[in-house]
Amino acid sequence: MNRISGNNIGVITEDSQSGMTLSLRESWLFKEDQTARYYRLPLHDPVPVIRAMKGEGKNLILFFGVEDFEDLPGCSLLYVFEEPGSPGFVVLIPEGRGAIHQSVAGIFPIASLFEREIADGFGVSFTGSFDTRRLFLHEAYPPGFHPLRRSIPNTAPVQDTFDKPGKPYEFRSIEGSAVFQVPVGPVHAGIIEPGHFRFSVIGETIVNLEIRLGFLHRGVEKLAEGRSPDDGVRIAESISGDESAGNACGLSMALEQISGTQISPRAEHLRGVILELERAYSLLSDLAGMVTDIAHPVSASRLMVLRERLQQEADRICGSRFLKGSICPGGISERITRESLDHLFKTAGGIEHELDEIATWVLSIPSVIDRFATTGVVQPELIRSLALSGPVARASGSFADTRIDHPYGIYQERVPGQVCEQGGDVMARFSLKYQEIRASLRYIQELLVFTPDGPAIVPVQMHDGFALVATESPRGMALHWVYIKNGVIHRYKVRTASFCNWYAIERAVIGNIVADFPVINKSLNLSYAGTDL
Amino acid sequence: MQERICEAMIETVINLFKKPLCIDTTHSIGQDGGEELEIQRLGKDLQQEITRIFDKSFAIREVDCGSDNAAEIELGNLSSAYYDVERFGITFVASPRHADALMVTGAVTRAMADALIKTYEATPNPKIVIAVGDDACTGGIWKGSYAVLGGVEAVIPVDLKIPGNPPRPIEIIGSLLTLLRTQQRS
Repeated sequence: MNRISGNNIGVITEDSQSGMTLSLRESWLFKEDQTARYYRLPLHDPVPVIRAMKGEGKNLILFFGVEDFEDLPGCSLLYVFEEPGSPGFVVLIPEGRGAIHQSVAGIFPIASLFEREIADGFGVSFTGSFDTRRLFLHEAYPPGFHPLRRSIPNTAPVQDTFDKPGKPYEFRSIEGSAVFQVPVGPVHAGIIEPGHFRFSVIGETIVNLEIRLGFLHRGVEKLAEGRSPDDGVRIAESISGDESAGNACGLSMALEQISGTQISPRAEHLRGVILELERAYSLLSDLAGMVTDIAHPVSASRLMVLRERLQQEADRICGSRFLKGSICPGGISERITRESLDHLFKTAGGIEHELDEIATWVLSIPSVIDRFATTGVVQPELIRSLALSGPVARASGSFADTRIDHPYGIYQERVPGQVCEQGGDVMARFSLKYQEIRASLRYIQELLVFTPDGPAIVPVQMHDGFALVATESPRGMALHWVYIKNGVIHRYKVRTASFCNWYAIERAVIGNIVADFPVINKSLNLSYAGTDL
Repeated sequence: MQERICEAMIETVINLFKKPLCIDTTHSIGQDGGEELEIQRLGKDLQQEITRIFDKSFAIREVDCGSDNAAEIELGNLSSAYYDVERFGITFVASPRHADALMVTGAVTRAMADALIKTYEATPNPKIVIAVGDDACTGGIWKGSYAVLGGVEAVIPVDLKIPGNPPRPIEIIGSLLTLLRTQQRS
């Protein structure tokens, strides 16, 4: 049991008798709610505890800073862990709130990203970290500018807006006479979001890829501070267009948890419909993108028409083709009519049949199989160390699905169809996404049959507090943590699935040829805006 | 015997080709058909204007400077089989050097301002700049954030603003028509 020898703090001991799997003392428990247990560690260095957590199979999925958290002055760090087989999360809050912390990137590699994010936001540093470059703050921001500090107003850091006062970003370099670099972006050749890709190649083969994001950093988290909860949901909705409903739902659920609001069964059902509709149309464009990138536009055209029909359904339901405004704290938009839902029911069934035909056809074409199979393999070993989630993880043999592992809303009552593929290549992701769309369309029809009558929205009596909510967006697990103080948002932290999943691409492309990069990238289709915030 | 196998094989191959590669989907979309007629009507007018000003083809380069990707999706949808704006002479091109117009989305972020200016400078004169979406028009929900400069206007001159969160594809087509009607052939 005691994995940490020579640890003079005496953290981990006796717990085997009490049957507790935690190496945490229950006396450290600070707060327990529906979704998480918060522990305040009376230690300045959380590293031994975090190492023990890893030994017990828990996984670090989020790690962020909060200033003036409850009665704690300074910047508290919150480490969020997922425990296999347990729906609740574990959150550790160490005593240390100074400017220097111990890095945990050696234990959980994904922590490196969170540490860079915290260092940018709050100006704290991590000793022993292997990457100390800035993450979301580009050269346009002067050194010493840390926007998430509460003492910093939400205004421009410099007068001359086109100046570049920051240090130039240093890319990892691979050296050798045969190696050359291919820089791509931020402005790409197609209609896509900005990001920079730095390939190191030998001949056609990619030996290294470094992805630099942050071009779309709009200051989401800072903008939410001081806003009313309703305004916060509108901001969450604008994080990433094709995940608007998912993010609005995540923050709304967190606010409902804080206020103790129970939404109506009708709203619960229709939220499920909205979330699955969003999943279906988002994944449909992923399929279309994949076949476009291997030059099979005939099937892409058909898939795009199906997507168009689902977006028209979204428009009919709530007046937005991206389901904006459909979910709000306390329930759903009142403008959703029975007629529009009946229409969706019919369309969902029709699309299911047509999709089956297209997918069967596409997957029987030898040239498609040739390009998809064995291309861009995401190794299952990466899932845990990079906190991968969603279709990326499920196409590499994982069953992880937030709707099933951490059920929320309607998913507590009705379990959605679970899909898993082995292989981890583009082929696996194509067939997985196809099956997920199918499962979503089925689930929509099922929910619509059982949707009861009732109020669309109930009033939310907001009071102070904090809550963590996990939802399954089309791209994987999205985490929303919100802290309400004096009736307004004091801190809003969001981690979309893309934030972690991006680094799967850096690994998946190695050994592939540059010409296959577009299809590999599209098979994951991650959100730049959702990562940059 | 061999002959029969041969015949069967030929029949299979013929059947393969008989199977339509693309089902005619026009009957199943836009239930009332009203929107499709509207697209055709707008498109026809648009085509006339494009022929008048640009000799049949109007090339657009899209730049995302801080959008939430919804506007990108709608611009991508314009090229889908449903709207298919290419039949009216509109093409989305890969390089600003090939473009007659820039379509810019998003409240321009500090990190993208430089890339936007470079893209603008790389576009040959005369050029049109179109701001697509509320964020690009005014800064939208991001107005007042330390990380954005505001609407596209804050960085480069803008000729047309298409508001919306994001604007629907048909609204984009309609706005383009309005813009081109005011343009002179140069």
